[in-house]
Amino acid sequence: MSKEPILFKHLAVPDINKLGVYVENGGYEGLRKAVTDMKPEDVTKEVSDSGLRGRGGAGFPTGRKWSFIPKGVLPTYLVVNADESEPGAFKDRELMERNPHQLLEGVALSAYAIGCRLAFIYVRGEFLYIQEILDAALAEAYAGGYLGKNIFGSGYDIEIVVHRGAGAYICGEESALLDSLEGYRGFPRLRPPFPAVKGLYGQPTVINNVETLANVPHIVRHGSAWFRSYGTEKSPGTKICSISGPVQKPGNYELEMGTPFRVLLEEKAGGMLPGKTLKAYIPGGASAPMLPNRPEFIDVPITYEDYPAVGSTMGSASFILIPEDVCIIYAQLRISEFFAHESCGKCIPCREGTPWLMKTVRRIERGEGREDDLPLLLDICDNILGRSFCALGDFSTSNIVASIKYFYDEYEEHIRRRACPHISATAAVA
Amino acid sequence: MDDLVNITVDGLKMQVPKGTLLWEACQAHGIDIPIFCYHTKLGPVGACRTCLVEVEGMTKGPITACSTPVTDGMVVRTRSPIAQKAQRGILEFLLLNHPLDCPICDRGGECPLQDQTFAYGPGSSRYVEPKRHHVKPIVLGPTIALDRERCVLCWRCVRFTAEIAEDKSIVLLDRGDHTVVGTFQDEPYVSNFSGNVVELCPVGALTARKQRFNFRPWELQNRPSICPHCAFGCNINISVRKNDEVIRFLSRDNPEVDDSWLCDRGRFDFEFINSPQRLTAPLVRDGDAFLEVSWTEAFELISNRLRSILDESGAHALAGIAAARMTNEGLHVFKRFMRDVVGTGLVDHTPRPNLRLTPGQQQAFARLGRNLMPIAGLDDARTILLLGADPSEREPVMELRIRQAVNRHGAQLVIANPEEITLSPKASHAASYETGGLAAFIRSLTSALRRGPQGSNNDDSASALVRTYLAEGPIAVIYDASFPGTLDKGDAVLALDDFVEALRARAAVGTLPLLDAANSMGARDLDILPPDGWSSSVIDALLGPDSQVRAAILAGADLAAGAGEETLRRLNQLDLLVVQELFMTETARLADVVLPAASFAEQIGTFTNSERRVQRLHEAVPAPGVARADWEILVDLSQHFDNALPYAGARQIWDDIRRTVPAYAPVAFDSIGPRGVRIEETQVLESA
Repeated sequence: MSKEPILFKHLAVPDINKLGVYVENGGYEGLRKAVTDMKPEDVTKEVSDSGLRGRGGAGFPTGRKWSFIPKGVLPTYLVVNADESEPGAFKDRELMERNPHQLLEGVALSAYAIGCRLAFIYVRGEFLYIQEILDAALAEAYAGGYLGKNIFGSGYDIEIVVHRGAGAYICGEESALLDSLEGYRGFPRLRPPFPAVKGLYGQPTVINNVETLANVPHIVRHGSAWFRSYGTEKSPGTKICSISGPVQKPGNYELEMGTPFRVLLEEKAGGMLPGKTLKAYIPGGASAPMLPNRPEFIDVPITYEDYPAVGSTMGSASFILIPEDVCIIYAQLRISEFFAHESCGKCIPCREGTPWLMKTVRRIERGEGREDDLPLLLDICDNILGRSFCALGDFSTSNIVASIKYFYDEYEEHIRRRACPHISATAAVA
Repeated sequence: MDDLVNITVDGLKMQVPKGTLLWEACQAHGIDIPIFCYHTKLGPVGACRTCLVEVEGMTKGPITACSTPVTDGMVVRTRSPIAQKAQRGILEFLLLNHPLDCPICDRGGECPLQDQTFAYGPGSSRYVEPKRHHVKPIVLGPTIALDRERCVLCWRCVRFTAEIAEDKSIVLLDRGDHTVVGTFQDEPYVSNFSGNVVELCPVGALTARKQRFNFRPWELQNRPSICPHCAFGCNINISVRKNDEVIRFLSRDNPEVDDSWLCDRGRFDFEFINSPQRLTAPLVRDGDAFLEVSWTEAFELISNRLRSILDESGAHALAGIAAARMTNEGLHVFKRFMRDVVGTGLVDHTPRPNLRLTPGQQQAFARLGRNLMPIAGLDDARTILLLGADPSEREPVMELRIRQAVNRHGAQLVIANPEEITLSPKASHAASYETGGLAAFIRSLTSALRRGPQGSNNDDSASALVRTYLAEGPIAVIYDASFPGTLDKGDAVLALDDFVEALRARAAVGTLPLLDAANSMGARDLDILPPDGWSSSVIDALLGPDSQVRAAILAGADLAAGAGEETLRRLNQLDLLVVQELFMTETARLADVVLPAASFAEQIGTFTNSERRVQRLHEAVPAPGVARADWEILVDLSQHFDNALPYAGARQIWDDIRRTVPAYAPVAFDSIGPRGVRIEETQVLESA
């Protein structure tokens, strides 16, 4: 990246996870400025003006989300969605693990903007060590007076509670996350009412992703114009991209929005491993439609707007690479297994449809596919897409449709030959 | 009107109240949209997605009609190719793992899944994978069995236990397509309202253990009636097979009374109607045994013996006690027979509050009985005050109405009771007093009320209660007319009457009594009481040591049941004991003549419930043998006396009731529709 990174700027600073080091590097300056100098609505305005959009995948304008909170209905809650469970996504983990105070400062700032005095960070069940890191940072920040009662003598109190989930993909869906946080089993809630009106414990609630909130201290400190100097008109700022698969250097890279995927693949990740050729890649985690290795798909700028233009989505910018020697049906089976396993069971299309997709793909992979299985798969997808209670049902269809679209021949070959041409993969499925 | 919006559904323009759910709007205009999870009494959950329809301008595919409020200008297509494809797709999903064991399923024939598949579903299945299997049936509790393979996971049972009965017993377990209905840690599902989940279940997944595999729905005819088990008056349908066998009771939604719920006693306790032990012919004592005789022989025997006793000892030698579960028509004829045919005033009903009221107390009791509020008025109450009353025990469905008033309409529940009752955890405030201390407790409230705004600032608990909960109306006061646990019941009557008067000076007040039996209110209104009203009991006159009574007619009054030796001895001593009954009860065993009576399900007539709603009974099944309605028995018996009663049917008796009970005068028999007619307070006042 030509410009200085925003979120990963201090990644290399030793002990940046310690309060003192974080403060030496300008940490909590944004928070001090906000609570002593700015009104809450000024913070919201700055974030609105910055054009910051939700980094969890949906890309909803953050400032606008905050503005939905009705005035005078107290208490309000801020909930951080740190239930990072999309296959291929591991950016929030690194943000929390390496620089926890950056998130905590963002949480406190955002809470201040919406009049919230008790915020929750909902971390995924498997992130025990992340919870420990956050709790340690919280303890330091409380002790240092950066969080807690009357911070910076402003009269503003902010308490942050880290809550660990129990390991369900559905709890990353914001309303199911609220159920889970309240102690119930996570099921998505009927909308309206929207969480901004009736959310956690029936009160106005904002739910934001970790990466989204980590941006807020920088926006407040440096201003919205500075933030807009990064990225594109519709996608200002940077994006942490997770890249996994047979590349030289898999991992997280912070890129300016609008950087082509080719830069991520070839420069940042160092290209494919020797002997591996890219067959296809998924740009935004398991829920984003895969794209085959064609120049027009490799040169897509990483933005909210450019991926939909080529029939996919940037989502959380979690790039999963599938090499030539991996059977696409096998890869799809793994994805379909995930969605069938993680369906919450609330609505019929997702509950019944995702296992049906999985079983049908598995049959094809095992060489038991039937001629009409491909139109069947597409029609099942059609009966789930837009019919399910929440977006997770829709997500289960995107790669079925994409893999059949781009790799029809491979499916057909499985059915015709009554076997998977990739021997090793078949063995794994049996 | 500005609270109406215009929408167009399938080309039909309609005006509906703003905020109406689209499904309800369509339903009201005769447009059917398939549903499983939605239920009008439970509200939307949006889980089954069967009600998907096309709405112009939709961006994310078809929308669920059950959870979408109408908006002005909405254009909806429920049968467009998009909507049909969506509905068909959902029904196909629903049937993937359904066992399709319709031939042996209790729901087969009245199954929404069958009907909606027929109307909206795909003609065939494309599913070739093995179906999901579960152990079945699961015994959920003493009353309910669960077939998890048939379950479509519509959440209705879960929501019923969470939102209506609030015992939260039934839950969803596991995730995704492993999700099953069950109870937490397999604890048994024990509830006074369990039967409702069978009726709510849109498939044959939840069945009543007593009724499984006992019938095919298409054999049954549903006949409207009223539950005979308590004074609340829940509306029911009696499912009858081959015109003579009662198979089950179903709820029959009356939003004014039961709001479609039944308690388990009401739903499951009907076997007595079909019982082979029912009396089928008149019986006359022959030594230690009974002989079957004709009605004429029985009537001649009764009339001859009764006449000679009356000639010897006068009319006060005869006493009559009728069951408060008899119809208004039965009670009225009973009273006419006793007072006008044989000339005795010794009539009473049972069970009844065991009151011994002074004239002043009687007036107070009558005043309390006049100011009744409608049951549905609980929804409008700001405060519901239970004074020594436990609806869950006496009129169970009232418990659900109270829960609804609190949950959906924001009523505050205040419970005054010496003990914890089922509703206690629901109370905004629970006050306790010592057993027997009801009158004193009520008086403490009355004095706090009378102290006025300054006095009620006192920090004693009565003042606090008055200040917090009784400052504004409407206030619903619910009391138990039997005053259980209170020794001086007359004193409690006075205290309560005074309290209601003091309260009425400050706020709108309505009262509701908890009563003993299905027609206790009718027995009161028809004055089935001794000449001095509530100051004595004919049971005492009949069974007391100085009793002058030589003959008794006991209509459904089983005085011997569980009674002591003295009672049995007194009953044995009677020169003539005539018993009208369904069964050979302990009392009937002591009788000289036993007359077989028809049950509530076997006759035309009316009950008056505890909010004074007159509701109709119909003849659902024929009475066994030659058994007859109570009124019919007494009308026929009267033919053997000089002042024979002229009635030919229930309608004629009702008209006579209207002539003699002014409060009932405005209610024509034919005006008593499926939801009954509530007799308003003003009408009672005018007649007083």
